[in-house]
Amino acid sequence: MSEPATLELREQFATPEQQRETASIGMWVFLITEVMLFGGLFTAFTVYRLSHPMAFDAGSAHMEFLLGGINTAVLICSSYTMALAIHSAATGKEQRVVLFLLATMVIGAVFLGIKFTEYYLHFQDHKAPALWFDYSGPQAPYVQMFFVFYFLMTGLHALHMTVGIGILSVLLFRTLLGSFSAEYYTPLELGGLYWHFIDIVWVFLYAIFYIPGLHVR
Amino acid sequence: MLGAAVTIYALFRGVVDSGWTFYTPFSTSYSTTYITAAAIGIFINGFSTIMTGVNFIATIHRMRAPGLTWFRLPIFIWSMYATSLIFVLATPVLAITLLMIAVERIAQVGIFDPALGGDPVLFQHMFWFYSHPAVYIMVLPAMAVVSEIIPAFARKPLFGYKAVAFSSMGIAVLGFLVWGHHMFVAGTSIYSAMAFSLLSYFVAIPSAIKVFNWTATIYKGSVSWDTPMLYAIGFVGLFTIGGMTGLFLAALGLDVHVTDTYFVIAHFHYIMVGGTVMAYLGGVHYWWPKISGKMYPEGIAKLSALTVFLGFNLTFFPQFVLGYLGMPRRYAAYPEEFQMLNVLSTAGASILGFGYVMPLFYLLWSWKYGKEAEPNPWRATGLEWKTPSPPPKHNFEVTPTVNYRPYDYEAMREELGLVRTSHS
Repeated sequence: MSEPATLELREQFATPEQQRETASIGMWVFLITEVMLFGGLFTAFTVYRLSHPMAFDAGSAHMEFLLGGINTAVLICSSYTMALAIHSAATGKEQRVVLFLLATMVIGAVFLGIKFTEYYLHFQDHKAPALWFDYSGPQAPYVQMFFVFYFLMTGLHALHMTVGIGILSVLLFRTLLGSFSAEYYTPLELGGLYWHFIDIVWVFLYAIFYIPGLHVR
Repeated sequence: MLGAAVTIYALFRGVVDSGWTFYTPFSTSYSTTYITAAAIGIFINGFSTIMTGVNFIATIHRMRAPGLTWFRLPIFIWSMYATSLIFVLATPVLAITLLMIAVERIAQVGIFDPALGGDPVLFQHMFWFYSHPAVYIMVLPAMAVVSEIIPAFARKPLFGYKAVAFSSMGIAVLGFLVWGHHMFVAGTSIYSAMAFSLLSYFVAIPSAIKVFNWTATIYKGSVSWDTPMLYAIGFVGLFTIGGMTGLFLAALGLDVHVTDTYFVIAHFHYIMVGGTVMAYLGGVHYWWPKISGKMYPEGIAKLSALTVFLGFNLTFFPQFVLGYLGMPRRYAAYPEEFQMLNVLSTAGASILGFGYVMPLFYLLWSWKYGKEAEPNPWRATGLEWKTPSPPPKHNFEVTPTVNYRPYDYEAMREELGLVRTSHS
C-alpha cells in the first residue's frame, strides 16, 4: 500500500461522481430484484399461513427459538462490523478495513454454523421434509409444508450469505492489494449494501418462522 | 446463451410436455419429462434478463448525454425504460416460482400439489404475475421502434410526445395489475375476476393513446413509403385489431365463451406477430444501414413487407372466426365445417413464412454486396444518425450535447434549406 489508490475512470463515464452514482443505482435496482425474489416466497408462505394458521403455528413450535435468536444478534453484529469497514475505508484507514472485513466474514461464518446446527437438530427431530419427516399431530401435510418453506427460505438466505462471504473475500483481497482508498471505495459500499440487505431479510425470516410458535410451546 | 443451451438441452433430451405455462400439478407430479432442466434453463436466462434491466435503468438514469433531459429522450428510450422496469420487477418472481416447481419435483414435497396440501391456483397467480407483464416486455420495444420510424418518414415531430412517453410507463404499471384475466376460468372468485376485467380494460387507454398519436403524426405529414414505414403502418393496423379483440377477451362473459379457442390464438398473434414482429422487422430495416453500413435493396424489401402483411392476415384472421365458432386450441383435428377456414389459414402461413425468409436472404446479401450507407440515409433526427454507419467503437468522437427537442423535423427542414410548408 505505497500510494493511495485512485479511481480508474472507465471510458464510458465523464466524471468519477457519475461512475460512482451509476454503480450505486445499479446495485439498488439489483436489490429490488432480490426483494421481488424473496417476495415471491414470502407471498406463497403468507397465503398458506393464512389458510392453515394452526398447522403453521404447530410447525413453528418446533423451531430452535434460542439458537435463532442468537443468530439474529450475530447477524446484526456482522452488519455493524460491515458498516465500520466502510467507515474506515471512507476515512482512509486500510488496516482497519481489513480487520473489519475479516470480522464480518467470521461472524457470517458463525451464523452459517449455527444455522446448520439448527438444520441438524431438525433432522434429528425428524422434521426434514423429503429426507426424514414424522409428524403425528393433526394437519400433518400442512405442518410439513411449513417446514418446506422453512428450509426453502432459510436455505435461499444461507445461499445468499455464502455468496456474500465470497464477495467479502474478494473485497478483502482487493483491499490487501491496495485497490481502495478514501477517494475510491465504491465496491466496498456496494458489497456492504448487499450484506445489509441479506441481514434485513433474516430479520423478517426470524419473525415469520420463529416467533409465531412461542405462544403454542 | 448458457440458459438457452440448458433449455434446448431439455427439449432435445425429450419433450417438455407441460406446455410453456408449466401448470401445476401436472408439471410437478405427473409429467415425467425434463421439466426441471427446462426450469433451470429459464432460471439462468432470468439472470441475464435482470442484469439487462439493471444496466438499462442505471444507464438511463445516470449516463445521458449532456443536455439530454428526460423529455428530450427519444421515445425508444422511454419504452426501454418501461420494459426494464418490468424486467427487474417481474423476472425474479418467475425465477422463484420455477425454483419452487423444481424443489417440489426433486424433493417430492407439497408446495403447489393439491394432493400434498398445496394450491395449484397459487402457482397460476405467481406464474401470470410474471407472464402477463412479459407480453409487454415484448410489445413495448415494438411500440418504441414504431415511435421512431413514423416521425422520420412522416417528416413531423411525434404528436403528443409526453403522452406517448407516459403511456409507456402506464402500460408497464397496469401490466402488473391484470394477470388475473388469464385465470377467469380457473375458479378464482367472481369479484376478483370483475376487478381484473376492469383493470384489463384500462390497459386499452395507454395503448389507444399511442395509436391515436401515431395516426395524428402521420396526418398531414409528407409521408414517404419506404420499407420501415410500411412495416410501421402494418404494425399500427394489426396492433389496433389485436388490441380491440383484447377488449373482447377482457369482458368476462365473452372470455368464458372463447377461452382456449382459436380466438385467443388470433388475438395473441395479432399483437405479438402482426404487431411486435412487424415492428421489429421495420426496426431492422430502419437501422440496417446504421448496423451494417450498407443499404438493403428497397424494391424487394417493400415486397417482403407486403407479403408479410398479407400472409399474416390470411393466417390469423380466419382464426378469429374459427375461435368464435368454437374451435379449441391445441388440437390438430377439426370438424368438417371448419375446413375452409383452416385451409385459408394454412395457405396464409405459407405466404407469411415466405415473407419472413426474404429479408433473411437479401439483408445478408446486402451486408456484403449492398450500396454503402451514408451516416443518415433517412435524414432522421436522433443521435445515432449523427455518427458514421456503422458507428466506430466509441460511437462519438466527442460526447454530443443535446440542446434540441426530440423529433425536431421542422428544424431539420430549415437546416436542409427546404421550404417550410404552411401546416407545419
